[in-house]
Amino acid sequence: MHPKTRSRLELAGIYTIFALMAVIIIYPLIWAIGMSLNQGTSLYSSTIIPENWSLTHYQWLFTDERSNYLLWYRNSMIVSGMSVLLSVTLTTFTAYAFSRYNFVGRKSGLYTFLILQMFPVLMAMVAIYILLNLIGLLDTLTGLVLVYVGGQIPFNAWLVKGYLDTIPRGLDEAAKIDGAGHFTVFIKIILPLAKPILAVVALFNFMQPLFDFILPSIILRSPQNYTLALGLYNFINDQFSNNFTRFAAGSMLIAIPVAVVYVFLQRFLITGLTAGGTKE
Amino acid sequence: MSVQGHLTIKTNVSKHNPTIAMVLSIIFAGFGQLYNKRYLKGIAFALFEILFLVTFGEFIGFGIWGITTLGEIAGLDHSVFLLVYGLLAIILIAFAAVFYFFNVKDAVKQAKAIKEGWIAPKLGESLRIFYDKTFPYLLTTPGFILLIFAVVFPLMFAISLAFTNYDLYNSPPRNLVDWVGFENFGRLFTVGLWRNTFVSVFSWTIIWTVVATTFQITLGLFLAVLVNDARVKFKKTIRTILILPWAVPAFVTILIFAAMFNDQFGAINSDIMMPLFNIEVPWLTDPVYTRVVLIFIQTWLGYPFIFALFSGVLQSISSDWYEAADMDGASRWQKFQHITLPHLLFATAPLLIIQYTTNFNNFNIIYLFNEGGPAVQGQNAGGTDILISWVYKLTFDTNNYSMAAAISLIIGLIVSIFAIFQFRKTAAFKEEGNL
Amino acid sequence: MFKSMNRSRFFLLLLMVGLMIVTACAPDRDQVGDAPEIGEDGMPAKPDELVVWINDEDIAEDVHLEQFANYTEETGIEIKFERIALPDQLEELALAGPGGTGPDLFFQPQDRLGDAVVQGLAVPLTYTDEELANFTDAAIEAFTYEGDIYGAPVAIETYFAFYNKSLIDEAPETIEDVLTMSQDLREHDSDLYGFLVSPEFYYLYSFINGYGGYVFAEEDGVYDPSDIGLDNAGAIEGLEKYQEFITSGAIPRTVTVDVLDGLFSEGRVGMVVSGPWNMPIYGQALGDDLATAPLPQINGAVAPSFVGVKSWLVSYYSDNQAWAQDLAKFLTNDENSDYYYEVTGELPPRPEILDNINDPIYAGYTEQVEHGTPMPNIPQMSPVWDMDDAIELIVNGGEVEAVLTDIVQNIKDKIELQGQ
Repeated sequence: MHPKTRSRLELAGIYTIFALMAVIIIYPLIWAIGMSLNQGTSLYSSTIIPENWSLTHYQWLFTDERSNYLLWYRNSMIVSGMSVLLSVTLTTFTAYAFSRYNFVGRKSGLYTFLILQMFPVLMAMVAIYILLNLIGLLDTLTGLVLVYVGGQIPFNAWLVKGYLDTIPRGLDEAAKIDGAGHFTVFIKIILPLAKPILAVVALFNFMQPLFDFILPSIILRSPQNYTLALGLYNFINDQFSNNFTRFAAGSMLIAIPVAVVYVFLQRFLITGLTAGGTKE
Repeated sequence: MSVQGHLTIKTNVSKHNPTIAMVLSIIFAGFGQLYNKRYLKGIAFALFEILFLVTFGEFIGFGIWGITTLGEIAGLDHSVFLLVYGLLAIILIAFAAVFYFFNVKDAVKQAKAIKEGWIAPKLGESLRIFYDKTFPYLLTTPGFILLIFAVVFPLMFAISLAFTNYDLYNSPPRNLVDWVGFENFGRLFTVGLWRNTFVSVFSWTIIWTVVATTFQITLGLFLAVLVNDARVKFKKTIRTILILPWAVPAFVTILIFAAMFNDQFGAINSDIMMPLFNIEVPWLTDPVYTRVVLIFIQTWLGYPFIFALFSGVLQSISSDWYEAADMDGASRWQKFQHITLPHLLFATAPLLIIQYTTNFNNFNIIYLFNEGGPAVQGQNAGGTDILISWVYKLTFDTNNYSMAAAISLIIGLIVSIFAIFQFRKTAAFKEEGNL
Repeated sequence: MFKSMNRSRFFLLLLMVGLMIVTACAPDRDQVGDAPEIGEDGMPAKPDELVVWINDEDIAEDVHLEQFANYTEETGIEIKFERIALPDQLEELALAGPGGTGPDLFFQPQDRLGDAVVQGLAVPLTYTDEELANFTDAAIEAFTYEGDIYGAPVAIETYFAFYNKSLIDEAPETIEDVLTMSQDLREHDSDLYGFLVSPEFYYLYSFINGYGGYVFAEEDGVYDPSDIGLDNAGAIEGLEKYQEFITSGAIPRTVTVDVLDGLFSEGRVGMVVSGPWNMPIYGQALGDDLATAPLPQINGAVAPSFVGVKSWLVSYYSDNQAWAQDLAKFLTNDENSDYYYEVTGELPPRPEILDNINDPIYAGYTEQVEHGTPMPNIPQMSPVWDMDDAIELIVNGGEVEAVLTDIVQNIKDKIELQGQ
């Protein structure tokens, strides 16, 4: 076969695969959108776009006095935002220390914690509950944020450390010779160079609280303190009657902005993650 | 002035005794430093100990009493709370012990130095040295403290539970919980309920972990390589679409899939299988099909992360490698096998290992999709139950918390041993050798 | 240097051990027996506020808001309520109670009563015989555990038949008629279903019990957890009857509650088995076409159903148990029970009210209650829900006898694992 024809055929094959993937990816999402437009409460509808479609569920979320949706949205933004700020700061501090300094526990510290996190601790949620109750942070967003931030450190610090290791030490040593202090080197030299991986850590820490309903269900009790994931999950966690359509509507409204953020951060995501996860 | 200072130090050389410094610093934090005439540091240390004792002294005493007895009067003492307080007390003691250790070490070290004629630097200078030395600790401490409370402390609690008799009938407030040693582990081997089911659940857990994870890695790899092909246009759009599953909350996706795969009312059978092939596949009622669907969903959910990761690595592989290979007349497959693949795996091994261990305990997908079902005759776990979801159900049905903790502990040991082994292997592979 | 370091470590250890021994002493027990002062009316001093956990449902909030306001008006005690889903209340209470953020009063169905009592989370109530006479015996029995009454009964719940008058003129009398009706309707239009029941043990207990199967042997309200009758000849016969519906295609295999509600609301089902919680939802969807009836006859009598009673319970951790009980009694008095029924459509277990219900839509409900058997209230009940697996296997074509033998063995193993 002529090489050019062969190349064209190949390319056609590649595009076919992408098209197929696109269908597999988008079909369930379209289906979920269809469900959110269904008037009733049932999960099952005979057609992908319901015959009597309506925006009642969206309307309910925003206007019904029983709906706490906007409040949940706000709570989730607060939790995710605070978690991003705190995590990025603490994680970079930790990673910087691991990357540049020698201290007790440096060699295996991060790995030890990574391994400890592999133990399933569903039962141990009780312990977190009692601790937060003791220090008065139960049913508060602050308590939730602190647990998230603490839990994410090993994995993300390990990622960031990997990235920082790729930044030549010569840079900070030169700055030190010029008289820059520890913090100056960190803030002026390291941080600007580490932007891509910080974007990744920020993204991870923004998403995790947004998507998790297990931890909030232990820590948060008052509906006005619920995060989105927990509130949405409660729509469908009733013993006798579920509200799948309302759930779908609420989920779509969160998935779309998140998808947009992902698209915009894609560049950082790919470069940051790579260098972070790769260079040991 | 300087002569006089010199003289005082000279006289100190003979007198200053490190052992006294040590004993003093053991008696009370900071006393050794005061003996060494490091007044500011001594006072700071002593103040720290006083504050610590005042703030936590009573709590620690109560906690230690709590964790040793787990309560004495049923109805008044709450064993579980006491256990938690005890663990917190132990953590506080550990923090204090570390501080005390450095306190004593510092006192002895400085006393020795003084004995040998060392002149203490001025305050500003010594602060700078202190800052220099402790900088990495200053950086890691805030994160470390949070980490201890968010990761280590819950784990300690789960481990402790495994050695108690905490179940429905030994529950506060009516009854107290007691320490029972290894009894739960012993019972694991004698209770018939486990023996019949453990093997089948365990083997499915392994299959699930290996197949689902390998699929998501392979698909991510495959797509990353395709997108990376120089001839492909609209790369950005394609990448965006391919990353999309990552951007939808997983629990939402899983529940939507569960609805779509309903045997008779779901979209897959009624819109695709029936019109096209005229068959109705028992997705949720036949364990084999449910397993297949679960693996499919996990692949759908998991590949975008791998895809993003590999896309980045691919871009970073130097083109020199390929040019050299082209000169040798290597085929495309050979290039992939000998250049691309090793680069990718080498670079991302620890992340891939974590993918495997995460799936081993991937409770969410199993439970949300079909609650571990469908039921299978002859065992008390569902056809798609993995170890962790099975333990969860048993706990829920029987309220036997201590037994569940014991099994969780065993599961954790299995996963972590695997992980340690793999981490070491990749480390050795990278010739770093230490972990 | 090293030598002294080791020595210092040793001293340090000694010190720490010493510290632990010195400080690890039992707390002061002076507060024990700090009984509240009793006022002239026999009640302790009024608290400013009582905390109540209600079910996490809009309708629960609707009904209780007004009742709580009335109580505040009457006594001056403010009521703070929190919405917590019924299945989660016990677990939350076990933590929130000792943590100091628990309720004074909480709400539970009787099948969790055993769990609550065994853990000591609920305290017994004191009722005079006069007060007791206002409730049906069944409701009080449901909340009696080892001789003590633990709940102020609010509603009695069971499932019964709902039917769509535009599809069938009246509810078929026997289960055999139901099967014929189903097949006729499906032949007429394959998008229609004659009769749907969710494949869950809760609903299918009718088939089991109708032929003589039972959960635990019972005598004078005392259950014997070692005698399980879910794999006896009656249970087998009943579930084989049910299996006919599946094998004949009358009931699709993967019906779920959601599917069932959706199809019935769309007007595609002749008759379904469901409970009062769906009354408003179905009513809205079907309007005047909706009617109710007791369950069809199985084995010659109206099929028995599980009856659940929902009650207010007083928390062990309440500082104001006397007032919590007062509130519980207030919420279940005649006036409030009547109001509860008006708003929620759930029947209060008070004979006076039950006798005066004339709304035809309640015909099925009120009649079925009389044919119900109470759900056992002992903690051994929770493993029994494994019967859902048995149902699933039977739906998928499993041989009934083998399946039941197997699952009942599992249940027995789990009961053993619960300990004692």
